[in-house]
Amino acid sequence: MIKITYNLAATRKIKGWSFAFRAALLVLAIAALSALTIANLGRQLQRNHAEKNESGLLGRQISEMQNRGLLQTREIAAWKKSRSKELAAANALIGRKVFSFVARLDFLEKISNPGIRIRHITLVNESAGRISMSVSARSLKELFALYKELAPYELVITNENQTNDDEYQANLNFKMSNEKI
Amino acid sequence: MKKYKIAVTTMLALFAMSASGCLLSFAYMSIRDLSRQSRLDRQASFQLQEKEFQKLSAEHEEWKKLPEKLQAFHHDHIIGMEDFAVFRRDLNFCLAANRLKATNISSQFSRRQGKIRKVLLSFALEGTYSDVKKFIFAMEKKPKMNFFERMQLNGSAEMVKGNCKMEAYIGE
Repeated sequence: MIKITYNLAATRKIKGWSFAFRAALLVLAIAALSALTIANLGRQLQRNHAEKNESGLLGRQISEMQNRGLLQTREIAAWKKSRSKELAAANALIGRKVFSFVARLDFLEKISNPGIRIRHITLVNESAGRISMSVSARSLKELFALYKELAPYELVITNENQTNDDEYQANLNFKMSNEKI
Repeated sequence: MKKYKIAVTTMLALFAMSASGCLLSFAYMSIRDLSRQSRLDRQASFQLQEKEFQKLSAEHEEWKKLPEKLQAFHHDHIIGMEDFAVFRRDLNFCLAANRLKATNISSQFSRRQGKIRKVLLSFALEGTYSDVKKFIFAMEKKPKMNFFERMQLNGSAEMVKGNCKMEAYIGE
C-alpha cells in the first residue's frame, strides 16, 4: 500500500474577502489611532501656545507691577520723610480737639449718687485723660460706691478723712482716655 | 502568499506605531497637565502680588492726596489771622450767652511753628454748673481748632468757680 502525503501548507488558500475585511478593520484602527494622536497633539499644541502667551503676559505684568511698586515705595518713603512731621502735628491737634470735657462731666454725673458732692475737679486735655477731684460724701457706703465705679479707671485715692460734720472727704484721681468714653 | 505576508506585517507595524503614538500623546498630555499645576501656582502668586500692589497703590494715592487734605484741614479748622478777632468775640458772646462772669481773659501768643501759631487763652469764670457745662459744650462743638487745655472747677453752694485754659491755633 502506497502512503500518500499532502503538504497542505504549501498550498494554503487564503480567502480574499475575509482577508480584505480584516485588513480594512486594521486600516480603520490605524486611521482612528492616528487621528486620535493628531487630535491630542493638536489640542496640546494649542494649549501650549495659549499658556506661552499667557505666561508671557503674566511675566510682563509682574515686571511692570514690580517696577511701579518700586517707584511707588520710593515716592512713599520720600513723602513720609517730608510730610510726616506736618501730618503728626495735624493728628495731634485732632486728637486734642476730640477730647471732650463735657463727656467726662456727663460720666461723673452718671456715676455720682445724690450723697456725693464734687467740691473740686481738675481736668486736663491729654491722651491719658487724668482727672483729679475732691469729693465729699454723706456716708462711707456712698463713697465706696463711687470708688467702685471709678475702679476700672486706674483710681488712685490720695487721702480720705472724716470731718466733724460726719462727712467723708477724699482726694482722688483717675484716668479716662477717649477710648473709654 | 508572500505578498499577503508583507501586507500583514506592514499593517501590523503601522498599527503598533499608531497605537504607541496614541499612548505617547496621552502620556504627554498627562505630563503637561501636571506642569499646569505649577502654572496655577504662578497665577496664584501673581494674584497675591497684584493684591499687595493694589494695597501699595492705595497707600500711594493716600500719600499723594495728603498735601491737598492738609491744606483742606488748615482751611477748615485752623483759625485765620483775620478770624482771630471773630473767635475772641465768639468766646465773649458764648460766655455772656451762658450768663457766665468771666474775668482776666488773657491771650498769650507763642512762637510760630511751621504755618501755625498757638495762642493760649486763660480766664476765670463763675456761674451755675449747668451754665458752665453749656458753655463748655458750645465751645467744644465749634469746628475751628480751639479746645480747652485745662480746667479747674470749684463748687460752692450753687455756683461754680473755674479757671480755664484754652488753646487756639491760628494760621498765617
